[in-house]
Amino acid sequence: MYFQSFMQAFHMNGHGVYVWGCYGLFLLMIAWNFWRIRKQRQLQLRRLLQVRSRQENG
Amino acid sequence: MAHFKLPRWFHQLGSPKWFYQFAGLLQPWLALISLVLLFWGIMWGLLYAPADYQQGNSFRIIYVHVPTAILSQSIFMMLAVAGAIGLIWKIKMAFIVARACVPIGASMTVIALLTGAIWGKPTWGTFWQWDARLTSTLVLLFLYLGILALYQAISDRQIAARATAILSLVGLVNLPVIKYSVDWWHTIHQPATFTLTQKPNMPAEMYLPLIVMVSGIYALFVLLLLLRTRNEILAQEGRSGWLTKLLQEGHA
Amino acid sequence: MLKYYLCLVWRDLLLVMRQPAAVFNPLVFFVLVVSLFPLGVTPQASQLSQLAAGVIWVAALLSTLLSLDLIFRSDYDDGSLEQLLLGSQPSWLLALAKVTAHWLVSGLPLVILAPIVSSMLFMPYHALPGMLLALLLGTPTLSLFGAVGAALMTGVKDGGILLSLLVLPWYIPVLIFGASAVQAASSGMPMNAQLALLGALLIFALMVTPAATVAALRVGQMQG
Repeated sequence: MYFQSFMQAFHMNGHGVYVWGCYGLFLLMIAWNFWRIRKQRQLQLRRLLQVRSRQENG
Repeated sequence: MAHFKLPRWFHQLGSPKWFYQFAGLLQPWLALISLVLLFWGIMWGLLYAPADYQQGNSFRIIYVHVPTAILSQSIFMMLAVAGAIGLIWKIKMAFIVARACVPIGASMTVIALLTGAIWGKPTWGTFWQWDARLTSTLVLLFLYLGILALYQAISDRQIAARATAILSLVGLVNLPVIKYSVDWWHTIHQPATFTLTQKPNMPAEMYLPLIVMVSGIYALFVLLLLLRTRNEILAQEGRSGWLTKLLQEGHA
Repeated sequence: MLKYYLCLVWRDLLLVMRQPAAVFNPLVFFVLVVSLFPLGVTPQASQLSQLAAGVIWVAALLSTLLSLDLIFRSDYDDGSLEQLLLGSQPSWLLALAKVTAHWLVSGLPLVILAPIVSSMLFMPYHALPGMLLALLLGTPTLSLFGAVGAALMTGVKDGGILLSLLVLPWYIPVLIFGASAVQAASSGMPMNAQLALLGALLIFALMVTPAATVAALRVGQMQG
């Protein structure tokens, strides 16, 4: 590892906020993408099931 | 151009049923690849790569900034090309893929911009600098937002797909012109600072993590694209027989 | 073919002459936007003359944007656009004629108004020929790219703000080179490079936009 201790890795000579913030934003973006996709998929599946049950009942 | 013969696999990809099932098979592998590569790249870039002698540890932002910036451009290219394929060969799947590209590309552009601005703080002393690259990334974001807005303004999916395909094609041919003019403008109004990512002779321990991150994020993009495309197929092909069958078997 | 083109341009001009208000409004807007800057920034001659190049170009961009709806809207609404697209003549010629007419009623008046407006902003008089040349080369490009956006908007209701969202990013190169040309002219520097680039942009727009405009118009027709 480049850093001697975890505190040092966290602090990064004062640049820690920026660096960790950027990586955090990056992970947030990935999470947002997966969350949107999951929500859309559930919505579509529910809609399809509704259509099917309507066809079966009527 | 419509008489130009396309290979067989191209038409297979053009069938929503085939695409839906093939993408389903590919998903776990892509998820594994992108997870491994991104984890490896993030760890390497964040904790193991050496700090830059000028920029210090803030240099580590390069490992998220540059990959997202690369993706924001190549996704735009891809969505325009997919739109063109849809317009020329009248392939519905191409429009669906183009549609799926837009939100992914827009989110990558947002992250590229934000990380660029955050990186600017320790490097330039301000969050925003009218740097040529940041400015053209901002313009790219506007292009993405225009496409998203046009999708939302037209309720008919078929018409919206065609209109946005034309819009993104004109955007694509304009992109190099905009980039060039922003570069030219920047050299006239050059502020007295050094640019973020121009670094001659980056040593291997610095650029290897970058390569890992770029390939990881490409894998992630393909995965997200497949997932979104499958959702879009669910939305559009709802009533077709093969989907009902898959649903009944519980494999959708 | 040339006759067809001229006929179409003349037809549009006649239509405009019967309803001159629609053409006047963007021009009034142009002067109004420019006169807002002294009120909002400063009435000092030294600072205004520095801002002049950019302000004139931004105002030109915005007023062009406002007039874009004129290109296809009325023809789309009364169905004559559909007839014109079905005609035997090449439809890119139709797009080109429409843009020409639009430039004659919106771009050219801007060029004519520019000297008045620039003296309101204390731009040095020796910069006038350069500015007029830059506007002459730049405004047709604005009309050409704007036509693509206007064509996309034919099928959309209330597309006003959306249109500006789509078209303004395409105007950035014209803004950069145009403003830089005027800046060079007012500081007495050579402006050949900027004018050449504006010319190149015009040629590029002439090659790219007619086909895209026609394609967009056809998509708009699908909706009707």
